[in-house]
Amino acid sequence: MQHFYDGQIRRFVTQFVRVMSNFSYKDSAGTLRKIPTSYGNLTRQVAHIIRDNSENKVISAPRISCYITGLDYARDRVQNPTHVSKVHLRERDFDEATGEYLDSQGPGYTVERIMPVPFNLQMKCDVWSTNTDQKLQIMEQMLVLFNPSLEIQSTANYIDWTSLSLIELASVNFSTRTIPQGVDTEIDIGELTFTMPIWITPPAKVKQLGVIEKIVMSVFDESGSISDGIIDSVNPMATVNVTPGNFGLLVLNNTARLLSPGEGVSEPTAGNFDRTGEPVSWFKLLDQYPGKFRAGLSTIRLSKADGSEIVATASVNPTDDTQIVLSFDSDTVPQNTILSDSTTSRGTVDAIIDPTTFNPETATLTAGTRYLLLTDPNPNTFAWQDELVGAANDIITWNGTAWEITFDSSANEERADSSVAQDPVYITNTYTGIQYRFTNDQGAWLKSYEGEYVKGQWRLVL
Amino acid sequence: MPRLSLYRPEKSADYRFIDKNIYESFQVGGTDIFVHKYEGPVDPGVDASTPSQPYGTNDIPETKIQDLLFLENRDRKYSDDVYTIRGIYNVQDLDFDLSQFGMFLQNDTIFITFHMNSSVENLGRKLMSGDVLELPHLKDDYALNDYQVSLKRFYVIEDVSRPSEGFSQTWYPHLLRAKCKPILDSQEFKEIFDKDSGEGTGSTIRDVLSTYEKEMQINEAVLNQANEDITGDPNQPVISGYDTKQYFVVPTDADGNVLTQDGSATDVTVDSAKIDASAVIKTPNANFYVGYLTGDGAPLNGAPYSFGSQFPQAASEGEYFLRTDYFPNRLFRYNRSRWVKIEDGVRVEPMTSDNARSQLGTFVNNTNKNTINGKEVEERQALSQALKPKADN
Repeated sequence: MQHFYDGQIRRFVTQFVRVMSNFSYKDSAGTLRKIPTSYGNLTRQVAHIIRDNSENKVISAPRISCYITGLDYARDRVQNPTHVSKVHLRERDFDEATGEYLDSQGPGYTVERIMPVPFNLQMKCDVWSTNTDQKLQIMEQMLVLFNPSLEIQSTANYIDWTSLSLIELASVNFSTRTIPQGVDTEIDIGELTFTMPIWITPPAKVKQLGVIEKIVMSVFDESGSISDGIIDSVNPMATVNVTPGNFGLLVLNNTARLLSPGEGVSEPTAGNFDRTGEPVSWFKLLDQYPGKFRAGLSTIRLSKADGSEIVATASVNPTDDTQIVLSFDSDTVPQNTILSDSTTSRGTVDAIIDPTTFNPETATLTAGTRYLLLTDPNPNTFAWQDELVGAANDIITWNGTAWEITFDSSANEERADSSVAQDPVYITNTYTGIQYRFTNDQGAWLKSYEGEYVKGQWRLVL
Repeated sequence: MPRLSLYRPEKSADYRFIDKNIYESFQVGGTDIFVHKYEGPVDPGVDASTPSQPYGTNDIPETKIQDLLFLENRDRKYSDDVYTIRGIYNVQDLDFDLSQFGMFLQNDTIFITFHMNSSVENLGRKLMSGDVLELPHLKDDYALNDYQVSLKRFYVIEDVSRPSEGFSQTWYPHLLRAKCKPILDSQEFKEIFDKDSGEGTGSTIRDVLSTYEKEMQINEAVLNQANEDITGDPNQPVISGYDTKQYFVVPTDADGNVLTQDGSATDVTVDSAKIDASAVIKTPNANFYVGYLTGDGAPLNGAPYSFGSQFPQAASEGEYFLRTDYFPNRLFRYNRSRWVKIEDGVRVEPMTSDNARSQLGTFVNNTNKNTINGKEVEERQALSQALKPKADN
């Protein structure tokens, strides 16, 4: 058995001595004198030390001494000995530097307490006085405290359910002297006997705050069969996201801005976003976690449709605290989709063009050059009339002699059918460095990860 | 020729001859004994005197009894002069008795014999119970302390009688026998212990000779431990109840959802002293950690608050305010329409503390004074003395 000792009875005795302390008596000159109180069962060596190892030292009187006279198992207070009580607590954050608690949430704990063992602790308090008036002064101060009892605590710990007890005055022996006195004057001691119902407990278990990881529920339907969608479902039935402040996020040009709850964002022209609210300082959010945000180490994580996340380290723009500068982890950014044709296989385009206004001048064009078409070619406005290929959202490649359609958005029947889930196609425009994504449900090229993230779709890891 | 008889109705020359020889034997073979002469009890004065503890002077003050009910003299006066007389006694071995109150008592009763006539001549009266004797030959030079003086040895006379061996052939007594016990640092001998120790530092005999100071230090250490067990700080007095200030309360609404600051709120400004305008999570509207004696009147999660005897005119939602005119103090939280009670500050210093604010404590530790009908009246009064009728004659 491993050793454990928490000084539980010692703490009760300490508090008992405290209760019996601070009494005083007044002499005829009106001088108050405090009465020393100590534990009664001292060793001979300590007694000699107190009197400076000299028989000439004079002991003081009056004095009060307390000591244990009994410790009995309290069978009348026995309860289920196997009962385990769990307490769930969240601590406030603690600033080690200042030694103060903060107003933010710290770690959470679950404390398991097993049923403590009941005992009755008997204590005696001896009051030694040198005259009757002195004794009555002391007694009058003491005896009014125990009506019917006096509560004491061994600790102020909220989760220590054994800390509370009470002191019951069981009996009073006013004097140990025999009356009348004989040839010798005996020491006059008033004896007060007390009982304290206490609990002694084994150690507790302190664990990380428990969260609901498993829900036990009926999996059968009315017919006794296992209900569909309960144990064969791949996706969780529900997800709960909590966002402090219900902030949204606008990611643009490697920066992130907070969007106030209910604030709208529009993109009147490509790459230009208009917001309906005022810029929000990031410190409004970060100040809720003082000292936690570390520039260049803390990360912002953006949720993707497939459940994975794009990760970027974050640092607040020193000249504009409404912006956080993002440095994306390239390993978390989606991989470009390799598109092949007769001249090359790669996941990039050289430019995005409007065929009605742009003429690529094929006479000087290098073979393998790729463009993404913004609109359908219009013969009337097509800038290069003799090479009419492709449609809006198609990717075309110059093979040295003619244009080839590398990605045909309209010809892809599966992609046209939005009911069929398809992996998105990612390409990067090497001219701007911006990545785009094509999904069949949207049927158009959109920026891969830049844009608006509503609450629940992004998180800040401090 | 008269009949031969050593006894005479009067003390004859034989008596005086023998008495001188006895006196001489005390001078040759006795030891000096310093006598601190008892001079009667302290007079209570006219105002404090009662029938059982009367005021008045006696022709022989030593014969006065201070308390006629309990028949004891608690507050004794001793002469400033110290009388030196010779005494003889048998030095005996001491047994230390660790008695039931936890301190050594010495089985140290000694019987000292004095020459009657010379002691009476010296003192002006016969030795009596209550006189304190100092035995200089028993000074302890090697006590374990750093005082500059040796520790003196004091005894108090319990009984005085004429010993049988003190009667001479003339049938007249020549000796006094005093039964002596070690003195205590008690109320009775306060004047003895208040005297200067001779150390030259202004210390008293109590300072160097009594265990009182060390016992109080031990008591103080235990009290500090009691403080630390409860508050974690030996200098922070014990307060009742349980400490929950280190716990975080997640503010929730009636549905259990986390309460956050409404972004459209317009009554929270950056110059508000009560609520940080950058705070997003609202202040909790109830304490999760409740139980017996958990209310301390402090706002939850360490939120800022103000206090006073009346609510502020303008308040923001979530603002805490402690009403100090309530007993116990009551903490409120403003919810836009009214101040809602959060908790009472029921954690107070317990009864035996000097600053006890428990119900019973306010009756005992009470220094309040009230002005009633233009007269200052102490609030704390003994029940037997409160509003007693005054003499109207």
